[in-house]
Amino acid sequence: MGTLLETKHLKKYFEVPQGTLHAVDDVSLSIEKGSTLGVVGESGCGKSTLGKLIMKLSQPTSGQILFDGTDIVPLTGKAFRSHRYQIQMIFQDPYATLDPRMSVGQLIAEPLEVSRLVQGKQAIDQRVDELMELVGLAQRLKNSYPHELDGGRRQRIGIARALAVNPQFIVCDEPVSALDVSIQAQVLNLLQDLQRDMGLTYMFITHDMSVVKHISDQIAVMYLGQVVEKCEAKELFANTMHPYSQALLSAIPIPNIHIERKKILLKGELSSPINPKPCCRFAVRCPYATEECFASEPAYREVKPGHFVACHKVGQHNDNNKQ
Amino acid sequence: MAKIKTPTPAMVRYAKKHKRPKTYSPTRDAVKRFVRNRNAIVGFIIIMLLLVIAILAGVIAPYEYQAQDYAAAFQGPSGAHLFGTDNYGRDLFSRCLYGARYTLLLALGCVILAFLTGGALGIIAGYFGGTVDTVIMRCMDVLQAIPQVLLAICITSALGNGVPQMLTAIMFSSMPIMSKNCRAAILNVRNADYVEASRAIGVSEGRMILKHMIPNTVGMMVIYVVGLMGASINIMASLSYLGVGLVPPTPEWGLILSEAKGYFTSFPHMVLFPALMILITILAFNMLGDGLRDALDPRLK
Repeated sequence: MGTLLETKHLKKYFEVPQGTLHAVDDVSLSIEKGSTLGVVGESGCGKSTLGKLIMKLSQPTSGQILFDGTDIVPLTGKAFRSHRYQIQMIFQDPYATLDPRMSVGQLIAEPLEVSRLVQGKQAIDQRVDELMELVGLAQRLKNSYPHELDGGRRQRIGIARALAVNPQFIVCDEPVSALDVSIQAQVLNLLQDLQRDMGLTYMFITHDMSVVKHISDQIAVMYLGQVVEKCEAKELFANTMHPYSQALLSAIPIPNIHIERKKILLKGELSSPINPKPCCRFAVRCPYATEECFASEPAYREVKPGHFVACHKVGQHNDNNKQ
Repeated sequence: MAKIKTPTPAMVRYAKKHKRPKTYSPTRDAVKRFVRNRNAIVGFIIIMLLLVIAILAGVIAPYEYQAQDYAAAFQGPSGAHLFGTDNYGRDLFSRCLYGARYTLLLALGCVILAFLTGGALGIIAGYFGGTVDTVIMRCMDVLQAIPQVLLAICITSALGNGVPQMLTAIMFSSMPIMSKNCRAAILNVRNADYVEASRAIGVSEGRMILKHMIPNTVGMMVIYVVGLMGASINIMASLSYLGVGLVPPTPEWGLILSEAKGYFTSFPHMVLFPALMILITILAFNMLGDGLRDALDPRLK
């Protein structure tokens, strides 16, 4: 299908009083057209910042974002406007991200009015109805206000807003983590249906491993601003290589009380992303770390075809774990 | 298929009585909360009455506010002079009625000026942030470091007595608080998630301000403005009392008080009535302001 979006050595540093905060540090990812890339990692690992960089809600410190082969980082003004509508975003908190003083109809009409993709009051109204049907919102809710609706319906408004401008690529920034589990499934299924019907490409940011397993074709695991492992979703679950990914996967609850499983408990805290030392960032918490890990930063390399890992010890600890 | 019952008249009546509004509207909701708040309604009614008095002062007042009648000086409240008369024999009732016109109009002028200067500066500071914010807000800090009444006195004593001078004085002394409130209101929405979400959709800055920021701050701004009405009446009265506000024989309440200050031990009615008018007005504005604050904050539902 070909690559739709690619980031090359994407970096975002924030200057803070204590030094430089490496929020996103040298992230190179590519996403195939029509597929879903799951981005997982714990809070503060830079996954949301990565989403915002791709949305151009913040400007990267360095690096490129290639969309359909064009670098969108330097684009501004008019040149960017045409690209703006190719990439859309679904936000985490469907309450805070909807203006409380706008009705459902107004909220969904806003991107149409702004983009001028649909002209005329009637045409916009008709398109709003279509979009509401598409995301499964009843017509009678058109004049309701977001606070009258439950989380799932609110998130459907967010999805309709994102879809309104016919994007190719949607950054889903934890779209279900603020929702109840039963509603999470509805929204995830809706997203998958939309992907199938409209050929959408997703970057799905989440900290929930079960969600990412359900929806992703490929998974990238982030730790402190860096991608530590990236491969096909099946491959990640079958053949986890990075010790951090292993710990993450072992934390997925199994809905069967008879299965005993050894959980890998990580020791220590997330080390600071401010002025990180030039070593493996996971080394302090890694059960397999040796001097080598504290001495140099591991390269992000392709260990197996399509399976990228950034770890000095790949291969060795893996075998230990299998026993 | 379920059988649909023909509605009986009782059902129709019930449905009419309990008619649920089709949609939720923040405005209607706010009005409902406001009406339910007794204090707010009392404040609102008093202010409406004062407005009527201010407009119809010429019709209601039995005497001209500046008409002197030395034969009737220093009279206590009576049928002929409801609030009594002052040292020149002027009817205090008429003066207080006319005073509503002057005082309310001037207070409104102060508030508009303060909003156009202080409010605008605060909005600019909050919206642009960074250096603009720092420069504006530090200037406001300097103004705020001087006590409000003292600052107003300094300005009027430098510029002289009169309406424009007093308006300027009150404008400057109200600027810091107005700008800080407006800045806070703007900051609140500027960093709201829905603003960022709209930015992601490609909403332009102009549309953002018109469609998202203003509708979401207008409630707070209204409250500050109403609050400032009461405060400016207060300062105006203080300035007039101290002799740096308006010039006699303007029937401004503070000035009536000021003129009466030499006689109030013997003739307390000369102070009592204008002071009561000030008290009631400020109270009414504060009650209205509090009511609006509660009504416009949907979280207090």
